[in-house]
Amino acid sequence: MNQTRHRRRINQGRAAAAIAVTAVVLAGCSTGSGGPQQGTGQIHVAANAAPSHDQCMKTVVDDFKKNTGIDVVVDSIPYSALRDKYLSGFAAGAGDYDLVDIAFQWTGEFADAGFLEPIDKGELSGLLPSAVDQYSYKGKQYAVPLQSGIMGMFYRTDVLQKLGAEYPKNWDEAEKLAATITADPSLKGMKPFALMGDRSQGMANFNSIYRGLGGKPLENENAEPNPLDVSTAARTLDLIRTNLKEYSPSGALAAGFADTPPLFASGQVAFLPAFDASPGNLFEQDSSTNAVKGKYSFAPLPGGAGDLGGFGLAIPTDSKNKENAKKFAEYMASPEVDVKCAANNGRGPVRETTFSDKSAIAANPVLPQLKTALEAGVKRYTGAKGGTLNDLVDTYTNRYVAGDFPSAQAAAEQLAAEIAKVK
Amino acid sequence: MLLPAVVLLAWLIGYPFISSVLLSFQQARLGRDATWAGLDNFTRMFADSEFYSSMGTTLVFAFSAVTIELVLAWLLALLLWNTLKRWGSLFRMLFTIPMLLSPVVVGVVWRVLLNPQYGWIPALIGDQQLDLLGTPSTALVTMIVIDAWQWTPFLFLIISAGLSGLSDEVLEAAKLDGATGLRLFGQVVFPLTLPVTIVAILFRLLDALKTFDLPFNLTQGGPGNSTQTIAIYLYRQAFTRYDQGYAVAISLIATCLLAAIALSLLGILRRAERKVS
Repeated sequence: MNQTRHRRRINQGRAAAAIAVTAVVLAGCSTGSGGPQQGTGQIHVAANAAPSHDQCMKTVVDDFKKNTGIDVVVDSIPYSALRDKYLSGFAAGAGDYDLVDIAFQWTGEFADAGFLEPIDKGELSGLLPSAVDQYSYKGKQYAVPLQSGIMGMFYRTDVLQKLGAEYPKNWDEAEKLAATITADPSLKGMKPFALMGDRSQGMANFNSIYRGLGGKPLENENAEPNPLDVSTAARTLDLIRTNLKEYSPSGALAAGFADTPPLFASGQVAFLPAFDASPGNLFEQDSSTNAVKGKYSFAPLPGGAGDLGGFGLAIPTDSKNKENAKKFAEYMASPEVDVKCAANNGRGPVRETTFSDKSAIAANPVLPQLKTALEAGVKRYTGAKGGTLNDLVDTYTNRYVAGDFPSAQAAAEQLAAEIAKVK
Repeated sequence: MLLPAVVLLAWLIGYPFISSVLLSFQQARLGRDATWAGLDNFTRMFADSEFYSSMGTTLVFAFSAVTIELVLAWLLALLLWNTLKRWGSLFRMLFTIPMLLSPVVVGVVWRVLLNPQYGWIPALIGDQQLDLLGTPSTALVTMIVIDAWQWTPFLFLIISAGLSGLSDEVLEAAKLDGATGLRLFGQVVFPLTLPVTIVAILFRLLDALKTFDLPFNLTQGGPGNSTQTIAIYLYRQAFTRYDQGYAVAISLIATCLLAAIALSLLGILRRAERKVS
């Protein structure tokens, strides 16, 4: 009797173990919730977790479904995790996403590796040429612009009026004005600039100032790096260092996107070199801490050049719903969505007509000036080795400012040598 | 019977290791098949000044942080063992709070606390020009202090456990022989808890030599390269420049060097333990 009971218990244990193992194996074999369904009217979109990206998309997906019958599932991913997630997904060929929200500087890398599907450029007429061009590589188009971006200058119009000065046309005038602001006791310790000194912003500062000083484009038409002009690069590094260490508030060396706009909004600085999307609606808020409402404008950086930015929607080659994905990407760049997201979510417009739309201007009064700046924007490295090249400039700019080199000339020479080695 | 387990372990540990070693001899570009590069990655690394500076930063960080943590942990453990015995459980609970926080949270929170514009620490000190994380000469020291704040409790718990395990009879006998204060500590308490101390140092040192989360979230390795540890440098090579063959070569050499350092230290400490006993 006891032996029978004992044998029964053993068999029950074996059955439980078998069920558990089967459950684990089946769970491991099941597809993730992010996987697209093959050949159905549903697409999965990976979007940057930011108001002008995922939130903007989520407000229009219902209308899109009503018009086309295509269901859109939006996955929000923080920017810091976006590139790594794409690289691991592309390398695995998982086909998790039908449409991916890419930063412009990844275009060449991903396209050269065969991860992105080329699209017909002809269907992008009506969009800003500078925005469209950000996603082209070796003559082919790889994404539909989702958001435009340009490094420009927010500046205090009342401060310039008080000083009887005009907006500086070049960097020599900008440095003279910075010295005047620093020396003027009536400005109560206001700093001239709030530069972003964070390592990741080195390239944005460098490209804008280098090109503004007359430096040649960083890459040729084949997206290969041009030799760096060492003397212009040295002057650029010196300007960045002076503006960070002497003319920006304490903490500038570690300041990023989120740190500098509040300095401008609180009236601590006169000039804010920033990407247009950085401040959001901060400068238009009605609050006791907002010292700039109605007293600021936006212009291209001195010298006229600004680092072009932006994001686009690209179709991975392993997508199983390419046609539907393309429809949604084009819908996101349509006139009505461009205006809606510019007015409600702070998106940098991608259509020329949006810059003169009343509702968009009401949300962002500097839109007309933004269009002027975008037309003069300059590209950074966007080719197959863009990641490496942009990182080199970030690194050397940050290291020079931190004092790792005896002179700007030495830093520029070493940077030029490193760029020349990249193949 | 053991064969399936051995095969599984060999596959889980051996296969990734052998693949890594093979990758270190190759050039791996994004989306392309890797090509054989021989010793190119290694010769490049040994000529790379940034590799040496990152290793140097890692060693300075690890040894400084662990030394400070050890001293503080001993002081706290002795304080609770003798003076504040009644409140021991409460203080132990409070002391372990920093250790429970994620390194990412620690990095982000301290970055906010130290911000010259809106951080509490410059405001409390009354100096809004104080930029500890933005100044190359103070950034590494600040990172060491933050690491000590977070991980001293870890050493404290291990050392406390060692102190609790000391025999009362031995301590009584020593006191009867006239050993008190520093003499009691130096000739009885410390030698008896040396094995526990060695274990604590080894655990903490191996962890500190691999540090990535704290510098990544606090300073991104900046300003300049002042807080760039070897883990940050290797991450940059692998995921920003996508130079995976080079990144793996760095990781292999760095692992060997750091393991050699850790084993040498262990040998020195063991010899000291034998001498004392």
